[in-house]
Amino acid sequence: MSRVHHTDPSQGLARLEVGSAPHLAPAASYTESVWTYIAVACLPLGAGLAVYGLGAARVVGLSTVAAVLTQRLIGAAQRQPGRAEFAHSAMVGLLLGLTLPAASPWYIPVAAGAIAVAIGKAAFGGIGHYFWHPAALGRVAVQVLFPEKLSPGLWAHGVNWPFLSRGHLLTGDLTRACTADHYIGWQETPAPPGCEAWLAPRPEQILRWLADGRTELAGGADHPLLAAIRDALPPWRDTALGLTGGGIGEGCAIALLVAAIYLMYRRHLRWQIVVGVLAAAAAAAAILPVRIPPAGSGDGSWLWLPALAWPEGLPAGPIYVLYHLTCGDLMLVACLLAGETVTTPITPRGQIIFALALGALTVFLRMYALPICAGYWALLAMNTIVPVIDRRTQPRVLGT
Amino acid sequence: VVEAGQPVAPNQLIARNQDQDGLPAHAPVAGTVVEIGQVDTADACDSPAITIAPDPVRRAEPQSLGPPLPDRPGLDELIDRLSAAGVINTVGNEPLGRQLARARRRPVDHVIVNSIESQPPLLAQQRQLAEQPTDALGAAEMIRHAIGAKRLWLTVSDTARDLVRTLQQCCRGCPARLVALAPKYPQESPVLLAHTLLGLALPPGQDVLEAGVLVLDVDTALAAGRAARTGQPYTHRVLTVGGDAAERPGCYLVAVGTSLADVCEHVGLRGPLRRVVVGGVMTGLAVPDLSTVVTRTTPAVLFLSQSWHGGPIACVRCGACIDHCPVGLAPASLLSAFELDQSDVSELYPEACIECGVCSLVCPSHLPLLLAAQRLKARAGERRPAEAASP
Repeated sequence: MSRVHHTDPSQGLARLEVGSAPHLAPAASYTESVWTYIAVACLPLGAGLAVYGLGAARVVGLSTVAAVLTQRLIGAAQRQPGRAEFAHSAMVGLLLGLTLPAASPWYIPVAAGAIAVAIGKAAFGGIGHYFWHPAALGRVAVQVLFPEKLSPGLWAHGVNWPFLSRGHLLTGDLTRACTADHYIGWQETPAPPGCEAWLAPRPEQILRWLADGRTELAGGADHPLLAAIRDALPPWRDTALGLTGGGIGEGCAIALLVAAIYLMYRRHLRWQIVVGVLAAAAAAAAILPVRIPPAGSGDGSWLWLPALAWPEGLPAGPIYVLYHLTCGDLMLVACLLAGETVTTPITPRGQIIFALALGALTVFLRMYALPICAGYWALLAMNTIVPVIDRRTQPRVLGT
Repeated sequence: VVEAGQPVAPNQLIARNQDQDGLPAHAPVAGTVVEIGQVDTADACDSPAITIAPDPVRRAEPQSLGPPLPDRPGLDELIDRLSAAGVINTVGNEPLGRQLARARRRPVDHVIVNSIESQPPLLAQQRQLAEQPTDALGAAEMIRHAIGAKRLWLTVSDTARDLVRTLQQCCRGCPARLVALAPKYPQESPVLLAHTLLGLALPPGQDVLEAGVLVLDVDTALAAGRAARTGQPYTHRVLTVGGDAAERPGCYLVAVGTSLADVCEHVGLRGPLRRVVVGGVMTGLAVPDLSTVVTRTTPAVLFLSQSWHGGPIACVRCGACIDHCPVGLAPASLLSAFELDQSDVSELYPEACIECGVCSLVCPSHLPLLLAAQRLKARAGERRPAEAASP
């Protein structure tokens, strides 16, 4: 039998391509999502530069460059250039820079960026294959490697972090810092001459002391929550705007929320993650007990459900919960880190479970275990059990 | 049946089926048999084929398969006629006569005639329903009566307002129930139609016919009606011709066996031709050359001037495929199971896949999710009869 040709094959038509269905322009690529993350991360970065000075750009720049160069070296060794990998490494370096304090010595962002990309990402096989968020891993690694540089006197009182004072935003010098005798708020307290920055304990640290039941916080016979809010914590507005000590991108809750809302609008971030983390953190802060310092001797007693505390007709309990939401690394974890798709469960149901556990664990660690990096440790812990969550939250197939 | 050089009349039987899975072939035009050889179709290479040179001068009386059947034919009568006419149900690509014969073993409760084609740019079913609403309804009612089904459903796209209004008038006084559905892809999948209309959730891999639901498209119903009423075999098909490179896109009545080159010549081209697809944009097959012919199951031909190359990267576990899967599968898990060559994939239910291709479309890593699901489904399909035979 011969082949039938209905048409002359030499008709001059261009060669046709074959390819699998669907025959439509494909969805936006993952690289696009990575670039969007990089763009929105500039919001909290900008807020950080304002509060910690332009010198903070050095830390973020070093971590980003270290991450990309590490990717370059590994790519050269693998002979496998992938543009998606470079963009992703830049994103990891940038997010990592946001977690570091502005006063870090140069080798900390460099080491963190190299570790995040080499160990956190490339060792597992690059995009799509790692278990732990590379930026959180890099941050926690340098915390363990250089504890004295990142948390001077971890367990001691008087852990002061610098941030620029009024009139010195952006251009001030963090090293010309002094402690305030009577700090009543960033806007209200004028800096003494020759002093461009304040030194104060991070609000997260004060919440930790509250859970510890430190006697200094108890102003005489006052309720400890009321005393802490009135005397020790900065005004809540300062914590929402990020006018406190901390990591470069951790402070400004408003910038982080705007970034998250944009990411959700562009469908690069699931609302389940952000809402889940914040809701669970609020619930944990509302329930977990703080310690009432002893009146005389003894251990004091636990105050459960602090959110319900309403001493002297003032809503100290709800305000205390708000402090928990805006302080420390929680907001950065909820808005920019936890949504990383590779290290979160794949179904929305699994993501809700993941986010709830992450938020609660962050507040628990912050109150009773680690006053620094609580959110990053909690994120790594939850990343670890993602396969378990995934296995139990498989989608239901029609007809089964 | 025929030999090279023999003259043929329209509708003349030119090939007989060798087994009950096959269908007879009839000449679409008057002409002379040139050659008995092979052609490529979109699904198969080297299909046996008979080439006929049309003879526009010769006036040959179109042949008929037999006298018209009564308005309400019996089931045996109808099956014989449909098998002789070579009518295939394009929903499931199975000869309609054989499907009706299966209905004898398993009673069919519902007949669904579907005109929804939600994957762009398919329109042929809706167009045929708009042009021949009473014929389509009459034929569907004939089939429903013959197999003793309780209810006849007619589904239309709710965006075709005029058509819905016309059909409301046609359906008055006839037992068909008209349902207007949002044409959200892949609504026209028989599994999802049964789910939407009847609330049936079929076990993965089960055929809708085994659940007592016969789904037909408009073209099949009309062909069955023609075969019964006038004894006309299946020789022509209404195709949607589209794509951005087609000069005059639209619905065309095309003889079965026409090559795509002839279709292309007829509709004209504008711009370069990069890809030719048999079927819709979501599920169609790209063919390597234009000598491919139109078959009884070809729904559409697309002439595209663009092509896309998204180099795949690793799965980033975004979950878009799971969100969008209409039957609730986890396509990403199916892909990794396929790549790892896992032996036991029964927990992932690959046989539930309706092969709609949405997962591949939404994947930001541009992974071949549809291909993996199809392969695993085919493998599961091979294993099932073997398992059934072993105990």
